[in-house]
Formats: sequence, structure tokens, C-alpha cells
Amino acid sequence: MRFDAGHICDAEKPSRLDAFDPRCRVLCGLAFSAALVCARLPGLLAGCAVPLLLLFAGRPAELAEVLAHVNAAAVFVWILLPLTVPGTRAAGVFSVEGLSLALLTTCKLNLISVTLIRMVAALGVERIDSVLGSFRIPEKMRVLLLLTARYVFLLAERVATMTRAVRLRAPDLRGRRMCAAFACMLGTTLVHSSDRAERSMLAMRCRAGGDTVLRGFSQCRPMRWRARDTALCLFFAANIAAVCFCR
Amino acid sequence: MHISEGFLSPQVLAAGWVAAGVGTAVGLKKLKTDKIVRVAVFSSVFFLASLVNVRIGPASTHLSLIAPVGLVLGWSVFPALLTALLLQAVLLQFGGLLVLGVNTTDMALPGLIVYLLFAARIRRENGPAAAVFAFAAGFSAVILAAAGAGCFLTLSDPGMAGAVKVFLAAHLPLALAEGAITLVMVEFLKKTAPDILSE
Repeated sequence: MRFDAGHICDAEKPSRLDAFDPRCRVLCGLAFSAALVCARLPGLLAGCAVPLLLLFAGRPAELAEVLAHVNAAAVFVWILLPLTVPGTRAAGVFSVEGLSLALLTTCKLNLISVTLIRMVAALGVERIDSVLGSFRIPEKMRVLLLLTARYVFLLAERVATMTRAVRLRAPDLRGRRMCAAFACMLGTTLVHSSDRAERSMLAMRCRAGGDTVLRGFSQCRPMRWRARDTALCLFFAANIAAVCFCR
Repeated sequence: MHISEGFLSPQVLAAGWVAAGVGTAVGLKKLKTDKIVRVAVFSSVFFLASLVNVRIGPASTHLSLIAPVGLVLGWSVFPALLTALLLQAVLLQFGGLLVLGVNTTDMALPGLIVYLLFAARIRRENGPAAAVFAFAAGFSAVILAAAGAGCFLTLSDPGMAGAVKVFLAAHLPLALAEGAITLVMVEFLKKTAPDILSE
């Protein structure tokens, strides 16, 4: 068993897309991805210009690394679908329909992933919270998002330390004993973290008083919709129309 | 367990968002302000469980801990998993943003089912009976989640039915591992912090 938290990255790297309003980025990204979901291969070809532009809007090498990870699912699709989908067999083994479905799925996976990573995920947790606030998402949900984001990093550090301790004490642990050791380790981490978090919350309530603890916990950054945001929306609308027309 | 972008049809995505929306709304309504921090801790535990890789023969898979999270949080499992999956999609590119509704439903619903079926019995019983219920909760949560993912994929494209069978079979060892881990975690919680399981 191995704990692999090295690739969690909370740092927001600046890109050319930062000039646009986050609300505009989220709306355009989601609408365009939804159009890609409905499309077949001709529609995907018509819409591939936007993800290609987005690929070069930041650092392409870093995105390529992420895409390699995302495409692990595509590998299974290419192995399984040609063998399992019924239909005409090519070379006596591979189904033509399966190959075509695998191609369609892989294209969608990559195009949608590039669009959403650049347009939404690159905003980072804090700006996504601001966007959710402007979309009138309940404050409880947004506070939960911010607290979870905070505890993820605190717990990751603690779990990494505990995993190292288990590994050092019993490097050859296998089977039932390994499950028991890791379950106890997770249980200890969980109980300690839960106690500590509840004490922090009680302290916050003592300072803020009563139920007002949530008010103002999650504060939106000011956002301004400019002419260039409208232009971006129009550009995406034109591309969505092209995808829908060609599908 | 996470379904990636591009695999599902628009109808299935919409159905997933509706189910996740209803579950999250009910979960948020039932969630008291002073318990929000516990939900956040369990949400981050779910997030981090995905980073614990379990080796199964030449391949590896990751834990999900759906059952322990479900047993402790009850209806709040919906907002907890929605948050965790959103963070996984943003920070790690696990799953995706369009499929967030489907993934939330796929994992939170088994969590809620095991809570409704087993939580009261696990609290009431002690010894081997509680252990059997805890193992059953962990095992069935993974099987239900894998079956749910299989249903979503097959409903999107019936051609995927064959691949779904392989996908389901591959989750059997993980279900056994999660059953064992849930058993030990529940026994641990009953001994050290019974109040966490008692609500």
C-alpha cells in the first residue's frame, strides 16, 4: 500500500485566460463541454479548434503531463471495447463498432478535459468558491468546500507521516495484517483530526458568537464583467453552434 | 471508480446531476452548522483515500472508504462527496466536472444505502455481529458503486456492457479489501471514539 500525495497542487499558475472574468470562464467552459458531449466525430472535428487554442493558452508541457494521466482510462477503453462490443469483426478479433466507440470516447475525453482544465480547474479553489457564491450556491456548501480544501492538505501531511511510520516499523507487511495496520492508522488520523477540527470550530464560535460563525467565512472576491468577457462568450457561442451544426 | 469525461450520454449526465442535486439539498438541510467541520474532515478523508494505492497482482487500485464515510455522515454523505469529488476534479483531474453529478450519485448513494441498512445495527451490536455488519457495509458499498458505474456506462451506450463485466470483476478484490478496512475502522472507532458512530 502506498500513499501518493506528491501531485496535489494548489498553486494557481498565471495564464492568459486570467484576463477574463471567472464566471465567464466557467459558463463558457461548461457550455462548450456540454456541446462536445452531445457531438459525434464530425462535431468534435468542428469543435477541436477551441481546445487546441486553450492548449497553448498556458504551459502545454504541463497540460500534456496531466493528459497522459487522464488517458489511463482511454488505454482500458482501447483494450476492452474492440474485444467486447458486438458487431463486424476486423481481422477476426476486433470489432469495428468497438474501435469506432473507443475513438469517439478518447476524442471526447481529451477535448473536454483540455477545455475544463484550462477554463475551470485552472481557476483554483478560492476563485471557484467566488464563482459559486455569485451563482447563489448555499453558504454551507461553500464553507464545506473551503474547509475540505484546508483539511485535505493538513490530513495529507499527517497521513504521509503515519504511512512512513507504518512502513518503517513493518516494511514487509502483507495481507490481513497490512489492512489492519492501515485501517488503524487511518482511524487514528481520523479521530485526532475530527477532534481537533471540532475544537477549532468551537473556538471560532466562542469568538463569533452563536450561529454567526458561517457568516462571512467564505467571502467572494470582487468580479467585473468586461467587454472582452462578452466577446469570449460570443466566440464560444459561435463554436458551440458549429459543433451542434456538424454533429 | 471515477467515471471520466466523454464516456456518458447527455441524458445520463443530466439524470446524475438531478439525483446529486436532490441528495445534496437534503443533506445540506439536515446538516447542522456545528457538524459542518466533521463533514469537512470526512470529506477530506475520502479525498485522500483515493491517493492510497493498493497493489492487486501486477496492477493497483485505490481505496474509496465510501462505507466508513457513509456510516458516519448519513445524508450528509452527498454534500461531503460532492465537495471531495469537485476538489479531486480541480486539483488532481480525477473524474471530471461534467461527470461530477454522476460520480457523486454513484458513490454517495451506496454510502447512504449502507448507512440506512447497517449504521443502527453496527451501533447496537457488539463483537462478531458488529464486525460482520461492518464488513458487509464496506464490501457492499464498493460493489454497489461499481454496479452503479456499470449501469451509467451501459445506459449511455449498450455496447459497453461487455467492458462493464470486466470492470465489475476487477472491483471484487477492492471490495474485499474495503470490507476488511471498514471492519477494522469501525471496531477502532467503537473502542476509541464511539460518539462519532453514535449520531
